[in-house]
Amino acid sequence: MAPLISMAFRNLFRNRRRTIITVLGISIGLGLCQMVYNLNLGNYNTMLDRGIRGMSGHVVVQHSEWLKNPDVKNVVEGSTAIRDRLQADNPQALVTRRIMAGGLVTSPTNSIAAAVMGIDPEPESELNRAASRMVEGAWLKAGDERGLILGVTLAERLGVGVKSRIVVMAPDPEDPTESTSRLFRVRGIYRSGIEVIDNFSVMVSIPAAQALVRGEDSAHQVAVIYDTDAPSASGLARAETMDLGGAVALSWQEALPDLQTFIEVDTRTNELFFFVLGFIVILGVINTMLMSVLERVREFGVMMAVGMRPASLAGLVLIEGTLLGIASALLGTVLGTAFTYPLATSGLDFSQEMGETMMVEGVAMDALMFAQYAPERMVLYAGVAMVMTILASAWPAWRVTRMEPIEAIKHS
Amino acid sequence: MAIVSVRGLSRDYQQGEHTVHALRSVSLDIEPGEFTVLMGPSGSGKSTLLNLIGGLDKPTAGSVKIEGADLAAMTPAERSDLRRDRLGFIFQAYNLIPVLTAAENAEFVLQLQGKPSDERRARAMETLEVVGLKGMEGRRPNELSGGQQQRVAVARAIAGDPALVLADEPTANLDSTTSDELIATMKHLNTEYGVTFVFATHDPKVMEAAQRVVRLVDGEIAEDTRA
Repeated sequence: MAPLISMAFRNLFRNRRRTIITVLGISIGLGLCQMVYNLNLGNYNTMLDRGIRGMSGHVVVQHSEWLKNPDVKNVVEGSTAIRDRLQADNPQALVTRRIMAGGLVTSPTNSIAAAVMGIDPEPESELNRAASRMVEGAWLKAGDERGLILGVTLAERLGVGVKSRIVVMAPDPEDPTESTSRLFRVRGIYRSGIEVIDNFSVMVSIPAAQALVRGEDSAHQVAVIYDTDAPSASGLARAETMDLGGAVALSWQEALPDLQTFIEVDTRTNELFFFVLGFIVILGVINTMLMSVLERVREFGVMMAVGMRPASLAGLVLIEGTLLGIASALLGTVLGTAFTYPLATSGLDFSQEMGETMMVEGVAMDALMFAQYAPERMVLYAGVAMVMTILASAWPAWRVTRMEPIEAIKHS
Repeated sequence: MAIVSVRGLSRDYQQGEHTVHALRSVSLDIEPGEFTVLMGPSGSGKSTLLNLIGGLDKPTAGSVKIEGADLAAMTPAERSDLRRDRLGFIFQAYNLIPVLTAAENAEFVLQLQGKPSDERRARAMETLEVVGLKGMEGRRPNELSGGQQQRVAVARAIAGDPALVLADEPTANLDSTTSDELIATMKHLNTEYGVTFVFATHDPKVMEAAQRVVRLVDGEIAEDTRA
């Protein structure tokens, strides 16, 4: 076997330029696929992190109808007790409640429709993008039933600043023809960088929001957020055994089906692109291997004449393909790592195209997108590239087995 | 027992609508230790006969037996093994493997035979010394002259200790001096080591060295003379 490998290696260097071009073609294709996957992975993980932290939680308890019909009436009753049980069960996790309602925000000079979010200020300060982007005033404090924070653009449109008074009106859940209203004082103004948030959102504490929607101890969601996704499955299983007052516990995959579907569709689309790219590259490899074989027909005839079996000759061609595949997989992975590096450290800036953020399936994506290395997937792609290269040499190898020694020797 | 036993051997080729009878019912025995020349004009069938004896081509009719084994009854793999173990080939155009050195070309057949590396290398050195190429073991074919390349081809042909060496116009591409040296080398191998040679050639110098000359005309044996 060793002499065959040695011969195959030397054969590859007979036409050094062709071999280098072939290896570079496969390697660059592989490296680009790895880079694109890594960039997508970074985006997906950012989307999921944002979605999980801001829209659901790794585990979320909500009304069984909320997913289909996010009506203000579909609440979780006894949210404090549920939150406390979940926090006791997950002492390392953040547990937070949320209330979402539409409303009208009125200042002395203007009235604007807005999304009203009731939050638990403390855990939400670690979850909400706006908490670290206060431009005026401060984040809400726990127990502040009259405080309100709002987006900077909304504040400008309302003509309000910190300490200004604002009235928030919300439809009465029990009677849509009636409404409830509550007076708040502006505690802070944030610039989240998300246009829709900065334009149309206000946040108040949970008790204040409960008063607006006439809920005693209700919330639309009680969310558990872990540092990683690892404890999610067991956390969900335990939550499902708890008394949730008729509400249901869902995984983030169940609570964010559109986001999950988007990522799956996008992944499949990219894989199709990778396959097409790989197919084109492999056609080139087949051509290279076939040329390499056709150039050596006479030599193969001589080798058969002196006693080499056709199967061994085919083996030689396959070894050449394997060496090409190994070299391409290794170089491609080096290139993929190198291509990814600037995207993982400095990111890819799309601010010219999309401004500061862009909403994707309800999740705000930053214009500066960062790649994330996916070693297992890079190894998988390298393996696929290697196998495809070997398969590309299979047809030329098969053709060798069909050669008649006498015809091959006479070949000019 | 004859090393080669040919009986009623015919080979036809189809060229468009015409059938070319390259060989017509040839019968021939070659004994161990013979230095036999197949001679005749171009198209007389000598190369065809050589290729059929070597199992490189299939006859239209008749049989070829090597040491009693009928080639027609063998699978392609068995014919490959027979060529590997019992036959040596020398071609007009040298036909060395360009990526291998002289020593590696010489030991190529031994490698196919599965001989251990040390044994292969020792035998290759020995055969290269016999053909007068000591000191050139590490050279690639493109670093050797035509005569030297043909000597490597001879070394390759005899390295596997074959029962029979088939040489198709081995001196055709060589100058007179180199040709003389090569013939002398092969004659030496024949007389000293008992290697059986069958040549297809026009070269009168090879014929002079031959013990036996088989003259082919139009695919038939016209004359079979022994010195």
